[in-house]
Amino acid sequence: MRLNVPMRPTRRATMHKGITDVSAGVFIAVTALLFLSQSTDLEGVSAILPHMLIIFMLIGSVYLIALGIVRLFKNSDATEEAEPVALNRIWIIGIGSIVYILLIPILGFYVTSGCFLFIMATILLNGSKNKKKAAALNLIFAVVLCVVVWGGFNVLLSVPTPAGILF
Amino acid sequence: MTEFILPALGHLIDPWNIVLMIAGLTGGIIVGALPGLTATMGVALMVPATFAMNATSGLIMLGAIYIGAIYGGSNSACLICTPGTPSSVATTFDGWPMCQQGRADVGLYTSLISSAFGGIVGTVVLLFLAAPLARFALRFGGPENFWLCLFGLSTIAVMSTDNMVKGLLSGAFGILIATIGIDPNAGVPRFTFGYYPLVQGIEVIPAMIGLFSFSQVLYLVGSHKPFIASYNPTKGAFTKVARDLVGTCKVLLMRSSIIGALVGMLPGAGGEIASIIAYNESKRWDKNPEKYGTGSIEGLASSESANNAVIGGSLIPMLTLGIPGSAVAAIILGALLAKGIQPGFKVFTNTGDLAYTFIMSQFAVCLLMLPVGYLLAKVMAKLLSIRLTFVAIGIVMLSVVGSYAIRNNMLDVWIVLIFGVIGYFATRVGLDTGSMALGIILGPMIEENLGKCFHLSKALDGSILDVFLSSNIAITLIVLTLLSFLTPFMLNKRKKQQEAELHAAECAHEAHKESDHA
Repeated sequence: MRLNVPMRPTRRATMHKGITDVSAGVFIAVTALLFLSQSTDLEGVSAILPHMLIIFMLIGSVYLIALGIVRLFKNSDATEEAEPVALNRIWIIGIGSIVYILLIPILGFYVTSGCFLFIMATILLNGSKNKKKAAALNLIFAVVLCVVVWGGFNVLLSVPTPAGILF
Repeated sequence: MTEFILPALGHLIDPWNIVLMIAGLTGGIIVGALPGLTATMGVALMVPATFAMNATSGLIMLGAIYIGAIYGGSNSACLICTPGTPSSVATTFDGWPMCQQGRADVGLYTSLISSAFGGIVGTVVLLFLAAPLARFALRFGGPENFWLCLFGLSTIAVMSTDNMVKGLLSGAFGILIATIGIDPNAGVPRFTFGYYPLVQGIEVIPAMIGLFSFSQVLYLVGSHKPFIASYNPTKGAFTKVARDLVGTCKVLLMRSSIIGALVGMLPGAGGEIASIIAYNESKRWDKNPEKYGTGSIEGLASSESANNAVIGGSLIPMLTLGIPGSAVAAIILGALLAKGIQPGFKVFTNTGDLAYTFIMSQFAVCLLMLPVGYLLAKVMAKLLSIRLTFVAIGIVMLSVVGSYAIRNNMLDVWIVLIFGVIGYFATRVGLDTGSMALGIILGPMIEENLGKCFHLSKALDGSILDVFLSSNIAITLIVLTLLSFLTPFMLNKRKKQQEAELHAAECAHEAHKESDHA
């Protein structure tokens, strides 16, 4: 059965400036705190730059979070333009890529890549009337790209690709 | 010198050498356009092939690959917002908006002509100013290099005028990421989070593939477009771009190329820093800086001319002092040594025939790049007529190959994925991925040189300030860095003044009209 994932927007096309500021601030603060937890043993010249950066990032993130909260309460209409996003498609390619990378060392690069390309093309491309033709096109795409990469990288340039049990 | 020029030209019209130049150039452009495959990798891969050739032909081909790869990086930067090589990061700032506006051909031709121009200026510098510039480059130590990197980093302030705090925090995030792994000064492993392979550190290329390429895949797949961008080839676009560049950008091209050649000869500072500094300077000196980052021909021209001018600059210390100015120059140095040629200033007298043939071949390759690059640009632009989903999932596969090829390590593939998600999220919340990339690129150099300054201050029993202010070059760079950070404030002030003047004029006009009416 052919799965078609429509490109319908699943998120509002605008985002409040306050929310983006708070999100950015939290992201920076979490990163700085993660690195801070790892930097307690550092001393001397090894600690100088990381500590300077962590302090700067923590101060900056507090400023961003405060700014975001003020914006949220004071100016409830302040929105940033953003394109509509089909979140379901992003999740599919994201999870598909994780599974793809996990399977490469097991199945081998070319077998996994061929399957990944075919499955992703089948799921993500909007359905055409002629399903057999679409499936054949996706298969040709997967095989041709794998052959081109194998010929170009492995044969011509001798660039190594990840190895697995299969090819 | 003149006695070597004519024989050198004779070597260049040898059909075999012309074939090698075209083949090297074409291969280099393709390697450069593929994210993850760098100029260094392309040149290194072809070194064994040169063992079967004479020294002259081998060097000509390696030089052609180098030039082709640095230019090739701009193709993917313009077409899919993925810098093919680290030197092309600044190219994405204006190249990608151009592509989104349906002006991909203008972007590709601008980068082609600018790259050829930059390459030629770099070669002229190499030909005539090699000796004095090599001596000047030797005066760059820890403090000078530290301030040079900070000067490069100050681009963040110019890049993110709308929200400088987010830009600076993004840059700091990038530098912090660059501290993962072995500390370059004390050799201590840091920030491994209990995962031993992270001792190797975060490799720049996979991080950039993630930030620019994988995040772009997520963006493209989540968008509502059937194709990456609409592409409307304009008739006579090449001629128009050439006319525009010659007419309005000649000063900018020359300034950016000179910056590129000067930065290129500093060991460790390559095309990535040169293109960023050149972009920064072009924006700073432009009367309408707000057009940068929106698909401006000037931004693209400054980045591309600078990174190609780096090539000539990086060959100066390699040929004159035997010190390579870049990783690719180091590989070419190795190829020279393998042929029994000892670099150093005597290379211009003892083996002058070879040295001048190599330099003159750089001219020839830059000129050949125009027809070869023109034809390849037409082919590459076809990418925009392939369905977006095919391109996006194809990029995922190529990202895996490119990132794995760096160190033959699956960790780098995971880095692509993680940084892709970070890049996508960062873009959504207004953080700047360009600044993050700058931080990751410049971070190791900043830390290494800061460490040198600290060691130097300890050795001299003085403060680090004494070390920072120890030379005129360092002081000049400090002043330039401060000016660069202050530029956005000055620009904002000027803009507000202009707006106020305009408003006052409008008010006066209205009042005048009302009084007339009354």
